Amino acid sequence: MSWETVLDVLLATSVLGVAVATLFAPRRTSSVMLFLVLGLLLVLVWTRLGAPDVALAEAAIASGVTGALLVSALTRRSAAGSAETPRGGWRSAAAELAVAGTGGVLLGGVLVGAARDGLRPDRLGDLALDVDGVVDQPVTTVLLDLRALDTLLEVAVLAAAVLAALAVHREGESSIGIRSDTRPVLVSFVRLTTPVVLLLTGWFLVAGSSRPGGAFQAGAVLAGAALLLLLTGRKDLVPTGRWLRPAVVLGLAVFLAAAVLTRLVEGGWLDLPASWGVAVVLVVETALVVSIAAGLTVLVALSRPRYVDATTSTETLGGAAPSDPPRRQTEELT
Amino acid sequence: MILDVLTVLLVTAGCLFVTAGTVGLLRFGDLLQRLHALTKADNLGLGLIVLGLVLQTSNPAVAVKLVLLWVLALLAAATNSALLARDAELTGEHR
Amino acid sequence: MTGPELFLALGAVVTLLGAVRLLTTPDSMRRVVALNVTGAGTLLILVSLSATGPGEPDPVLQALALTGIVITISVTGLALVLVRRIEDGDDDD
Repeated sequence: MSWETVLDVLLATSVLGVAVATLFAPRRTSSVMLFLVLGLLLVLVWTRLGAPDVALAEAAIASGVTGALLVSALTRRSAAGSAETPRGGWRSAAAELAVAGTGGVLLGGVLVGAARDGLRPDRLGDLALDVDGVVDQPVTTVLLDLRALDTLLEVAVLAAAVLAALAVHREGESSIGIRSDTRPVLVSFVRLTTPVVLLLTGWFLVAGSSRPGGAFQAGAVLAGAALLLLLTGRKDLVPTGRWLRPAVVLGLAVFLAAAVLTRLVEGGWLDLPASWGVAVVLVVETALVVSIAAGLTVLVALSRPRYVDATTSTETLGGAAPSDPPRRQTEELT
Repeated sequence: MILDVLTVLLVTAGCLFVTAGTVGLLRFGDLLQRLHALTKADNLGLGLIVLGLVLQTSNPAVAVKLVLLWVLALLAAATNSALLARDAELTGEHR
Repeated sequence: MTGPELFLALGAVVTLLGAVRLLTTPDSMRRVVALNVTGAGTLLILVSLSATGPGEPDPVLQALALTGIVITISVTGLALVLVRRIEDGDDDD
């Protein structure tokens, strides 16, 4: 029993425990908070399984941005509502646990048995590792060189989801309305960290060619900076209003343009040649970063509960009465 | 060899401090007390862990990145606790 | 049972737990969280499969996992906007 096995068993047990707690938590807020913890534990698991790109993406996108999405969608309004108490009590929860647990263990046994017998998907990875691709990093090669079509479709899905969310949003405005919060502590923090975040974005983008990194992680980190800027009222630095939808669609458009270009020059869709393929990959990735950042920012901004101006109604986010000293400036940002 | 022993000691001490911070989070009743325990103990624990890991690398770039991690975590924790504490003050003490 | 095989079995359990919960919970936001947990379980299966083979980890499966993460967050974002719209609509009446 080596130390690695101990670590693996501990990690697996923690993941299982936190997953069960996330799914069966009594309150919505506990469920969301435990889900954030699950995300952090998964980052450790991915690192342990030798997948640093997936770990970076999990930390930035699946934990970071999804966490921001879920937390910004929580509101205390339904605290006393039926959303909090699970119907049927603990007996039905125990039944669900039993069914899922048994099924899961059986399925796990089948999978492990199959993996041991060698019944796995063909090692396409060997092809990817051996190919003389345009970039050195195998995952980036697979994403943008060998299976660029899949990445194109994935970017299209993200753009479609963002445009659909913009269309469904209540006010139907073309710009994002967020109440700005100009407290000095927050403003200084944003001033200090935005340059660092921009540097980190650029680093992820460029490093994706030779080590773990890539456009998606860079885009998620940039979205964090954009949200901070929006929160402190610097709407001028973030594309909102007229430039919002173009920014969201930019990555998809550049990717399609690259596909058409390679079709015309090379004779095959997204067939990257060795000589100027690196330039194409970099240009496409840069556009993807802008697009992903814009898309994720929009999604987080849209999932916030509807703000009502404090002067016209008594409804505010935390339930605080409007007679409180106005510690936030409520500019209308539309 | 000496470096390995030092790393293990520092990382263990760091983990102990982080655990102490979590115990404080769970046991203290008042929001301000919890913030106090959490930010102080967690940041000190993270600093010790980072120090232990810095000893393991000979590449100065990696060492700088690790220290930068700690500085950014400090910044974020300080801002978060300041904002939370001011909110708690203004809307009345939470328990 | 090696490390990756343990995580493979764990992935199966987490996927089924999330799926059962997704089908039975009445609260819409909890359903979104359960969907994410199910997705995390399937990613566990994918990445464990990429690590169980001999030699280097399989980059194709890791690229699939990355794609899965981005698609999951697109779906989650749209789902939360819809949940917001439904619940805000309920409170209006």
